[in-house]
Amino acid sequence: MIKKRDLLVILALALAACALILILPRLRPAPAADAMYYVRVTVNGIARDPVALPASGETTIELTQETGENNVLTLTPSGVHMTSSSCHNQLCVQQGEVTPENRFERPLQSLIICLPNRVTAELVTKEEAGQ
Amino acid sequence: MSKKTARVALMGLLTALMLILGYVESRIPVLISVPGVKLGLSNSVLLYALLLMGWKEAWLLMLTKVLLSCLLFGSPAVLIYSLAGGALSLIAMTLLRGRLGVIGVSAVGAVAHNLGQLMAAYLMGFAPLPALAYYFGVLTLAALVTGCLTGLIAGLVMKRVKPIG
Repeated sequence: MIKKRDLLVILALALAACALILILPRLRPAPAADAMYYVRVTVNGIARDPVALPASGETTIELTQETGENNVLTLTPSGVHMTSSSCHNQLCVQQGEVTPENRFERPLQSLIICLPNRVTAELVTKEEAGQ
Repeated sequence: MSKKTARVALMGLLTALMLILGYVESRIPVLISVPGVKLGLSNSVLLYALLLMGWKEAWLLMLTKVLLSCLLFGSPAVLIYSLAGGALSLIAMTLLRGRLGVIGVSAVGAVAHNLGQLMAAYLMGFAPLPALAYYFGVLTLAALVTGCLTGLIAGLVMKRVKPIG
C-alpha cells in the first residue's frame, strides 16, 4: 500500500511546502513604521475602492449581495475583522483580525476569505493599495 | 446479471457513496479556520475506481460527482473550483497510478486538488499571487495529512472489497 517511493514524494512535498511558508514572508519589503493601512474588499472577484483604517473608533462595511449573501467587516485603528457573515461555515469570522503586525504570519496572510459568499478583504499599505 | 448491468449498478453505487461522503464531511467541523481544508473522503472512492476499475470509470465518477454535488449543495461559482480541483487531481493520480502506492497517489492527488482550485481562484481574480502561494504551502501540509488518510482508507477497502462486473 505504501512504498518507499511514496514516503520520499510525501517528504519532498512537505519540505517544499515548509520552504514556501518560511521564505515567502521574508521576501516582502518592510513597510514604513508610520505606514497608512487600507482594507481592499472584493466581492465576486470585483474590487471595491480601498477604505482606510479609522484613526479612532470603528468603521463597519456591510456587503449585501443581490443573491442575499451578507457580510459585515469591522475596521478599527488596530486592524480589520469579519464581524458577521451569512455563510454556512463561519470560517471567515473565525479567521480573526488582520493587523499590520500579524498580516504575514497568518495562514491566509493579509486576507480574510469567505469562500461561500465569494468575499475577500485584504489589509494593505497605501502603496500596495495604489492610492 | 450481465457484466454491463453489474457495472452500471456499481457506478451508481459509487456515485451515491461519493455524494454522501461529501455531504457527511461538510457536517464535520474543521479544526482549523482555514477555508479549503477538508478530509476529502470521497477521494477514497475515486481512488478505488481508478485503481481497480480504470481511468475512464474514475473520470466519469469525478465529473458526475462534481456536477451533482454542485446542483444539490452548491452554486455555479463552486462548480468551477470543484472542476479545476477534481480534474488536476485526477490527471495527477492517473499519471502516478502504478508508479506509487495507494497512499502516495492519494497524497499527491490531494495536493494537486488544492493547486487546481488555487489556480482557478487566481485566474478568476479572487486573490493576489503571493498570498495564494503562501496559502498553497499551508494547504499542501494539510493535504499531505488528509491525502495519506484517504489513501489508507482506499487501500484497506481495496484489499477487502473487489468490484463486480
